[in-house]
Amino acid sequence: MALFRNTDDNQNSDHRISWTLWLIYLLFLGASILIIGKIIYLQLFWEPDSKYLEYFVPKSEKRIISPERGAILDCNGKLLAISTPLYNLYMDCAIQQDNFEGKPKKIRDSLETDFRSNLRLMCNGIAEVAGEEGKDGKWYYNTIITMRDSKKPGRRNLLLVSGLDHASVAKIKKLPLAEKGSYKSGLKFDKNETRQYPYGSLAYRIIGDVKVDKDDPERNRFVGIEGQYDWALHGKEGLEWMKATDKGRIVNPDSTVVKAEDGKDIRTTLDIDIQDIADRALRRQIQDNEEIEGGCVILMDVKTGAIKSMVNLYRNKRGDIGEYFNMAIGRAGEPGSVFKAVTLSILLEDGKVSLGDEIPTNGGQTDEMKRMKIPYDETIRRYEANEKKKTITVLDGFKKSSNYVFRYLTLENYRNQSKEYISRLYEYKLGEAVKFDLTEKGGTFPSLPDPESKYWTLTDLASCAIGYTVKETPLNILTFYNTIANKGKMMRPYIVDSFEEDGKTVKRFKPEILSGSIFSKATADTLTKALTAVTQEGTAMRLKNAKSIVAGKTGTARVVLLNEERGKSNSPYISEDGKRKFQATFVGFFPADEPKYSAIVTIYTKLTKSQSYGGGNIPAKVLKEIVDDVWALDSSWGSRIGKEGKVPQMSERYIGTGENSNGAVPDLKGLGLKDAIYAIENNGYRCVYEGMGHVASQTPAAGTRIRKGETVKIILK
Amino acid sequence: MKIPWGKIGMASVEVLKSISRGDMVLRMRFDRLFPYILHLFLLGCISIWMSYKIEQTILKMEKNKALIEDLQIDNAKKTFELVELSRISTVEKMLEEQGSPVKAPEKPADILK
Repeated sequence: MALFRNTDDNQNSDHRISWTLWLIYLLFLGASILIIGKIIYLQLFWEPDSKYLEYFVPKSEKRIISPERGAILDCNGKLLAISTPLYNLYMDCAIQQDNFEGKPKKIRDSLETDFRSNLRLMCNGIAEVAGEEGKDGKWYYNTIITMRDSKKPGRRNLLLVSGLDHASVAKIKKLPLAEKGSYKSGLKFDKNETRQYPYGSLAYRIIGDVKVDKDDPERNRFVGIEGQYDWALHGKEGLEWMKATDKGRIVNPDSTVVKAEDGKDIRTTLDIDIQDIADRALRRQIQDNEEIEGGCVILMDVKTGAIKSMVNLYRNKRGDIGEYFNMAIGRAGEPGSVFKAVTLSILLEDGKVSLGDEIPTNGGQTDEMKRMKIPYDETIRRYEANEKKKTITVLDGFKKSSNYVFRYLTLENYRNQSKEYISRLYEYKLGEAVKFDLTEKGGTFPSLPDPESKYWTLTDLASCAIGYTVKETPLNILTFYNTIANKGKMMRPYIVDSFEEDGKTVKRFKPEILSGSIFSKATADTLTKALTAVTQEGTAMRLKNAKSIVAGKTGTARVVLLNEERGKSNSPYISEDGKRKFQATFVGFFPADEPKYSAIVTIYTKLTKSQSYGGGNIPAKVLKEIVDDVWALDSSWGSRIGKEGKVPQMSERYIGTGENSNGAVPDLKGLGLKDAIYAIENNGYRCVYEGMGHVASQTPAAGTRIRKGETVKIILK
Repeated sequence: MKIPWGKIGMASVEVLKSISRGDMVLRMRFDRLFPYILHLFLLGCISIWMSYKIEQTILKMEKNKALIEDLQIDNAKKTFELVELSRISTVEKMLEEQGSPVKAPEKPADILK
């Protein structure tokens, strides 16, 4: 039967299968010997052609990781300075020319025509995004083509647009031709990290900037907080090694990575709203007065010494007003009558006088003063004529800012104790620059005369009493007045509050006491009373109607002229054509009964024929505006309404919808539905909408003038 | 020391014969080690696969880093624009231009205790 095969047949079949398997086995054996042999050969013996060798070994490239520069914030966390990148757009005008050269003429011309038509579209897009005046799409196209055809040097790197922001770069990258990448389009973006200041030039001299010139270190500039605290803001560079893969460059995981340390954020004590108020108030007074060279304003927190605002406006040669120099800390000059409070504090503290003491008027000049060639005091002569009195109280002398009164008191009480008088000035830190977080390059420093010098005379003592022969910066003077407001405790002024990282404080700078008590509380209270009298009845009556009671002192000082300003004149204060320069100051604190802020306003004039520039005039006007606006902003001075209290009656006021519109359809693009409906109806129109999301388009377009009650349609996406 | 060339030669011939017959691995009792050889092979495959996946992940990370950087720049720009608009004098100017009766407060806010 066929079911049972012959044994010989089985054996033959087995032999065939066995041979087949053996042949297959031999095939695989041979192949594996070949493969293993080839691997050994490639690993140990083979070397590629040297010109291709570099492409076989993926390059490892060192990449420096730039740290992110820290931001600068005000006391409430508002951004004062932040880094954002700006881009310069360059064009390789000769892009793809080499590729096209190698092709037949017909194909070459066709490729070039294609390239140029796409280039035209790209140039139109660039013109629209860049929006530079006088440069449309045609201009860009012609410029590029001219360079492309001319083979001029520089055509490989032509600067098209500078200062583009990130959003503009993203738009340009999506344009025709540009979307193909830099190897096809020739577009290159050069990124520069720049510092942006949301508040413009406000507090520029405090915030500052850093400019590093690698070729000429003499031209390096480190101004303000940016410069002084560059070491904290900059951070530390990091390092990583990149390797090339077929999909792009990646960090080599087997190599060392040093993480970059981002710079720390600096929170200042500045209140940018107060800064804005102070800047506006000062600018308003000096903008149109060509006689004024510049001015500064400082506002300080009484209890802590924190600087809330520091404005420095200066008129440059072109007549523009800006923050070019920090006069508040860098310009030391004779302070004038504001120094009388210093003299009064010494007299009161030593028990030499009280405010009610009467002194003889002597027509404004004693015989001794006549011998010293000290001129008579016109204020006293007017007082004698008006009041019909031959004596004047210390308080009245202070209110009227009488030079005679303070010269008299100082000569009478410190004639033989000049050294003690000057020592007290040093105790009040008036003989040295206040230890402040910032310095101003090229600035001048406070100085006091030396009573042990051979040139010292009693005339110098009499001059010191009224603020001459001494030199003080506005910050020095303010620090003293702040001490009066703080009942004798002298606080160090400071502007850097803390360092932060990712919103967390890593280092805080606490308020520092320079002196626990430079005079007694009683002296401080007496001085406050005298200073309040100045603003309510004296030389600073402009501040009488300020919304908060201000205590302070006016000061007017003539400024010592430079040699070239003086000419042939013998007087250090008067030019040969009779002109003078003035420094007018008002310094004080408010509210007088419980001081919260101390402030100083100083104005500097150019050479002027004016006989005087009083501290009770422009400086007082500036401070009044500041006091009124700051008082209105601060709710801590608002009324408290508790269980019982008077709720203010609101007067009825009708604000109809659309009354505050300008008759044009508002721009609604990007708004959510609620905001869009509000904006439309607030302008007196009806709203119809379609879709979900944010407003993508609107009919009519923004700016179109339509009648109230008409419909505005919005499409949301 | 005398090298036994004859024995080495005979052993070599035996090895070659064994290889040609296809029973070399069995004669060396590699069948016992087969699971371990397979395990080693699998480890090798997994290692190669993991290296590849790591590279792909790092590549994704680089792309995401670039995306995050773009978003951070956009965020910084928008923060900047918002802060620019919050300046008191800018707000007052904008309100004035719009003809709005809204002005800066003339007195501090009352506080409800």
